[in-house]
Amino acid sequence: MSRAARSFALAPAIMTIGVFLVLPLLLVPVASFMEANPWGGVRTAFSLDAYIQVLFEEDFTGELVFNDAYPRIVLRSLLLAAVTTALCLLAGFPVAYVIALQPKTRQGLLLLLVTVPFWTNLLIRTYSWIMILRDEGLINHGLEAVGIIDAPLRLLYTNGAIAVGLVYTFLPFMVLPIYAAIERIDRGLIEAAHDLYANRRAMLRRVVLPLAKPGIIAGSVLVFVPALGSFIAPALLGGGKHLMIGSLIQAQFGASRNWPFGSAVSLILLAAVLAVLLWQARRRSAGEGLRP
Amino acid sequence: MADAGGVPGSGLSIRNVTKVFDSAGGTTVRAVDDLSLDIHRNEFFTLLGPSGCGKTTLLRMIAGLEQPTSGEVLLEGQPLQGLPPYRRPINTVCQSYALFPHMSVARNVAFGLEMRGLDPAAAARKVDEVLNLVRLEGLGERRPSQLSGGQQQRVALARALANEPRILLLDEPLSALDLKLRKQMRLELKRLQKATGITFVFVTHDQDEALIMSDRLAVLSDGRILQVGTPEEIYQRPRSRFVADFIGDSNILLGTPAAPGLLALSGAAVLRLPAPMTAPQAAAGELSVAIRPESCRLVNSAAQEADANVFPAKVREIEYLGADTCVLLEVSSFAAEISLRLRNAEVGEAVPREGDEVRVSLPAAALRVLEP
Repeated sequence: MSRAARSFALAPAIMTIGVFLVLPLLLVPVASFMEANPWGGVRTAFSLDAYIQVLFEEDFTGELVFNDAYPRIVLRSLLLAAVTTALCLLAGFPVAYVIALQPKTRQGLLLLLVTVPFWTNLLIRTYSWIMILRDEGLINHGLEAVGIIDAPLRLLYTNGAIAVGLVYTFLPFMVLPIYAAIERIDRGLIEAAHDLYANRRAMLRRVVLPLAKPGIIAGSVLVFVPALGSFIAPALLGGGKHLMIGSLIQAQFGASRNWPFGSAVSLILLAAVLAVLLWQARRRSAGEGLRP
Repeated sequence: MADAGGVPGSGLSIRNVTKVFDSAGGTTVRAVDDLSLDIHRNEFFTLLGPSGCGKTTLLRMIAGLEQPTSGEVLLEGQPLQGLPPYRRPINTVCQSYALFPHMSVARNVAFGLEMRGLDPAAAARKVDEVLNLVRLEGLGERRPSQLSGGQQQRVALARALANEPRILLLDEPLSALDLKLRKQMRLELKRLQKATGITFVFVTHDQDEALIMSDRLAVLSDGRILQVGTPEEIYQRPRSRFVADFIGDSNILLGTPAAPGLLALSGAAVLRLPAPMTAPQAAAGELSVAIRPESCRLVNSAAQEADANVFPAKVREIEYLGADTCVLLEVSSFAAEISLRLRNAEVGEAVPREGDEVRVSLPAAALRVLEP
């Protein structure tokens, strides 16, 4: 096929990616360097205000002073995403391991059950956690009925509630890649480990865990990245008090009407995620160099 | 066979072991059926049988990877029942080798030693020693994927031998190798068994491997043992038709018991047997008799003593095998085919041609009456 014919054949694909992926993504940095229009959108004038605003605010005299509010939101987001990833790993690995050891026919059913929550709207699923966690919710009523507590525990609108919501939302992203990795492990290796005096724990630590590592890494990235940018769980379960970076961005394009600032924070988030992914990719290729 | 290794009565005992598997559709499969067997200490013992005869299941029960449905396995008189695989002084080399792909050769070999808490220095010494034993010195830092099939096989052996197990189980370890390497590894395994003094229990479907390596072997079929003995006993005195057929080639002749020591074949032919029949043999309606192709003879005259069992025959096919020539004869007097092996070095030019009329002798001393 000639060069011209090939570009012609590829044109629809390139157009689609260009219009729906590249163009919107390019608009973000462009918008971040403009002035905010209080009525929404941007004014076409160059400005670094959006980036300055991330770290500084104007005091009464018009001087710029350091403001740690936004860095704290970024830090809290990173922390919550990391805790979410760790909890997903703790809960997801045993689930994936148990599923992978079932007979083939039952594996299909169990994997289906893992993905069932995906079939319901995320908003509805998050609202159902409000029902469970609120003062008159399932947990508080249950504990009061048993007589363990007299007054309802403060469960909703806490960092813990956000973490619970995030873990619940992203757990399948951890289970599926780990399952895929464990399922590929030759059963003969597990038997060989037992044959060579490894009890279950040693077998898991020395054989299953190292061989499941690609799945663990993939699952962690798949949980960490969207957890960092999520805004539904922080908004509903955190009550908007505990802002995460996702909710911050969402607010700038909504109520706050500050598109340049929202774009600037989006870019910072994107850069952070790319940095994590690049570091991961480099680590993996270095690891593969050991075993050609 | 005292010199061939093996101390009777102090090795592995399998007592009335049965293993039933539930298979799809609610049916059950009896993989091992009320099987009893004694394996002596320090012997090279082979479980020989076709695929599906239960030999691998038996091996897995000895290793502890399967639990017997009933019966028990004893090691030096101690029951192994209830002990998980990692508490048994038994190691396995399996068909796929099951080397840990994420560890170097040395780490693989050291695995069992570390699991039993040997200190790293002693473990490293042992690893070197065992890698020398299997002739892999200097390859410790490689990954299993960087080794050839034969080398991987040796790593699997080294990994098992490093633990100095009481019993080493080998599940068709040679079947993934090409013929030349396989022949070399047969001798190698035999050498290792002698050098280490460990009891080897070897599973194979290859009769040549079984005959060459074993001190004793058991022939299995359908989860039962048909015959146990030294390779010579099994080859020279097969007790059943299955054993006669499975190990080496056999001519099987069917007949009915006539007078004591005489078997009436179809037609008017009568075969003289080496000894009078036993009571159950004489009572059987039909008896099978086996004779090895190399025991049959071509003779010149019919006037031989009665024990020679001489019959006229016609040469149907000649197969030249290098050292031997295989002659397929059609014997009209009892309407059967007899295959016969001549050593080319002995017969020289006197090899018959297709279509020749010859006389074949089935010496009574070489006939084996099979179990009815």
